[in-house]
Amino acid sequence: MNNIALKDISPMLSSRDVISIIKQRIQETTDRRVVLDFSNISFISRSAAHELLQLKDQHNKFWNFKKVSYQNISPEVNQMFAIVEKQKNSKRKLNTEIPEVNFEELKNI
Amino acid sequence: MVYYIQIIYNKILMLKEVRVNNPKSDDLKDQIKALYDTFKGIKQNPVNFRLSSCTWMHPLLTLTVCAHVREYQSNYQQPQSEQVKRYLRDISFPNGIENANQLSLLSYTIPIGFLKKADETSRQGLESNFYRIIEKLTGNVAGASNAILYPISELVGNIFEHSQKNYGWIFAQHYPKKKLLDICIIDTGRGIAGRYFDVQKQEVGDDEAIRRAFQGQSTKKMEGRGYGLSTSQLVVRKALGGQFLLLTGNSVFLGSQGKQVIVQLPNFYWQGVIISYQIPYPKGPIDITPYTE
Repeated sequence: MNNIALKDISPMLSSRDVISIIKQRIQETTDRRVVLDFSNISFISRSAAHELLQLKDQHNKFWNFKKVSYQNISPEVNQMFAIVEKQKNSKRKLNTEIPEVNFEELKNI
Repeated sequence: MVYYIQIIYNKILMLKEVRVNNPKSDDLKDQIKALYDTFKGIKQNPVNFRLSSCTWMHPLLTLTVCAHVREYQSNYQQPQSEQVKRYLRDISFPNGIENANQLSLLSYTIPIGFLKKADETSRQGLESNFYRIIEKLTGNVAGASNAILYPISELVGNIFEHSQKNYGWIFAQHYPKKKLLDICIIDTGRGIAGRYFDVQKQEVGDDEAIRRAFQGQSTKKMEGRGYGLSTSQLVVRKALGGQFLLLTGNSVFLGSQGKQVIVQLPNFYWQGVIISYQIPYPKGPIDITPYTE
């Protein structure tokens, strides 16, 4: 089993580029089970969470040799994963019509 | 003496003199008016920004002047106020800082961050330290981290995913007595309308481009894309009770907790995207989930 401490990559997972680094580390290991350790990760962006969930889903398909799991997830990070999952499954709520005003009217708003 | 030499130098270069004035208040509405007064008619031409009468500089104006200086080789004249001069020096105006080593986690002054895509390690370090300072300023309120950092991470990510530029700027200013935080993020890329044109071959005005972006119409065809901008502004306005401003091309979106408008700015054009938002320090637990769907 290979344990990858994500804090060694970045204390905050804030971009898809960081996830590319994680993907590379997973690919480089020969172990069958890979654990992503979220200890001391205080924030994950929505886009990074989206990429990580996709990565986990792909690796955990039955035909994949490597299995990926997570551990030590903080409540904040867990919330972001939950948000991404919800976005996948729910219908998008569109912003209501945004009124357009003249520049001169701006001072009255 | 230096002042007069600079005037002569600018006249030789035929640079238009542009006076930068303070906004009437900290409110984003007044900040955008001050920005408009400064930048109308300039577009991408180099100018000389006269900061002499500035007694304070908000992030929106500061960062936009900074980006214009760097992008279009504009000049600027130092402010007369020693306090403002010192402030500009402390925030590393106009070059900004490029790596985390230049950013002290102990300091409450946040310098301008110049983010470069190519230098991944430095950028990640700078972003992380920037976020940690912001977190520290706003205290340990449940859910506050995600609420404050969610929009920043989305909007900075958009610079490198959408703008087609390999760099951008970020800046924040906190007001401890007023318990407010101003954040500004700028790029000089293709703008939102430019994105729709390049990717979807649709020619739309800047106002319509903003409208589509806020409705979550992504230029990326994958599932789960197109949420960043639309949800970020909702988190700022509804979850945090702040004000949100997005300017691209000749149009600006302004939103507060209850109201939102789009305004076309006559004789004005910014190539790229300027985002500025202002939030009060969080007082109670915050849940961003309802605003992220």
